[in-house]
Amino acid sequence: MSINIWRKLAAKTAFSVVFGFAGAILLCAQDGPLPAGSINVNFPDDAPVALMKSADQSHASARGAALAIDLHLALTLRNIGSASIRGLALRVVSQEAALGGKGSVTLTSLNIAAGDAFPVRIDMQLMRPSQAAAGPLVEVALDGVLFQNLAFYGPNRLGSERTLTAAEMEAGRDRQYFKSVLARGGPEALRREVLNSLARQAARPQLDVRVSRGHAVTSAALGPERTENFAFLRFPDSPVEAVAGRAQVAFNEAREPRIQVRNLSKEPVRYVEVRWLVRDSNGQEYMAAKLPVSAPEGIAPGQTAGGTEETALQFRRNNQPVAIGGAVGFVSQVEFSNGKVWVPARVDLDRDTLRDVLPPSAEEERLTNLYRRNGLDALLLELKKY
Amino acid sequence: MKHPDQATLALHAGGDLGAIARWRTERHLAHCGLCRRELAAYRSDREGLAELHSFPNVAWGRLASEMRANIRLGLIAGECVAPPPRRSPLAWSPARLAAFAAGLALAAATVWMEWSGPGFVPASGAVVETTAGGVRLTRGSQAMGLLNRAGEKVTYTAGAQGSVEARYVDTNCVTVNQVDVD
Repeated sequence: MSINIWRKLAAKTAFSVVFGFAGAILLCAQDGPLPAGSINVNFPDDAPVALMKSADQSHASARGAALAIDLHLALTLRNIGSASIRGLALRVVSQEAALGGKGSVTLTSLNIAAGDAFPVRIDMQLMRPSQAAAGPLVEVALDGVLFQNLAFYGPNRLGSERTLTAAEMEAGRDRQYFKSVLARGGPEALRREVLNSLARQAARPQLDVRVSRGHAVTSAALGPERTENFAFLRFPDSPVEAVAGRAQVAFNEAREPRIQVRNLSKEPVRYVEVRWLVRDSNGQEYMAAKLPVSAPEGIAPGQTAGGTEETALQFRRNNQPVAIGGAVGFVSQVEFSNGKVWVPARVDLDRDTLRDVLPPSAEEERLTNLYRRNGLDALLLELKKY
Repeated sequence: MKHPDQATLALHAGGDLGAIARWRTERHLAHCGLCRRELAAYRSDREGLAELHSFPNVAWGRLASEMRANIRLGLIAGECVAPPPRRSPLAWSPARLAAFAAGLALAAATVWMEWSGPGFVPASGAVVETTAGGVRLTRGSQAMGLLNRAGEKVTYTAGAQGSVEARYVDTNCVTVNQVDVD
């Protein structure tokens, strides 16, 4: 091929890119709202909440051969039951994106009286091939509603009954704690307690995490792999004890975590959650993950059960990998076969080893946030409602 | 004198500018020989495009799509790291423009050749992870993410069974967004 032809081809390629540049700008003009029927919000007829209003500001834009969808859905729901609602879980499923990607949006620490309306926001991003089958992009369905008396409504496909009940029990525990501080030391003692909590929240180190499924082999780039055995903290009133646990660890990756628990109570247990803390090479501890042990058939009193998760977890902080130097665990939630849920007492979580590492409960975070935004009087008023 | 940028001139050459931008550009061109020469070059190159499309066995539409995607990505990344805008038109000399365009074309062609085979999906497994704005599940070239409300302090917790949740206080309740690997 002669030099002239090469020159011509290079010049033409260059100009096609220049016009591609212009095309990229023009792509913005192709952004648009989603077609009708793209989002399907589906509540059962007998649900204790009704969809009053749905505002959709979603739009799609082309990204090469893919379609990027920004989904912003503002729902207004009304409590049409007779009891106050304390929690609500929505299942969010995209059949088209990520081959059946599943998520949930859960609201806890609610206090919605019968007849009252409340907002729920769902903000999502989807990336999928532009050539895809017709049908709704996203389906939103009710997974569960928890009432003040801990009664539950819903299909519970995501285990929302346990999640919402545990959150409500933690909420009751921490409201009671703040009330007792107020009763003992007055408003100033409560203020000090809230300020201490806010300081801990601000100082608590947090990890970014990536979880992948089915990692059979650790990347050689991570270095040699070792078995890291868990050390366990035991709470006096815990109905279940963790007896063994380990994970395969290589630098900042832990894979195939395995946990074994024993039922110390007199009731069968169907779910146990162990909180997993990791320690870096400097001795700094972080909350790493929740390790579930699920036994739908029940763990009988005195029996042990366990499980291995075929997952790999990688930890980073400030965009730097965090080398795992140790693992600590403790039982943080137990669900009995009769549906009752146990959560640790406040006094057990207030140990020095845990207080600065664990995040506060959702309710403690809400109440301290209320103080931060609206002051002590607003917090006192809120505590009086319960 | 503030010159129109290269994208504006390229759009003008193809008659793709809006009315106001076209008026402003023509007003500038009436007094600027440098930009008139740039425009003439774009028009000349545009005429050569028809011949370019006659190359056989090349999926130009697909290549153009990939180029657009890469350029768009470049523009977004550029916004994050862009230095203060340079005003001198000499910064985009034809030689630099050609080198830039050739580099982009090479990258796009590589991506095109890489993706045009049967193994289009680059990643095999599903990954769920924390991101700057929330929690995202990625499986190959597809993704699904739940976004946090901007400005709120967020607590992230992983589930070893394959999930990540983001929790934050939202007005007077607590929102927990969770995404599962499967």
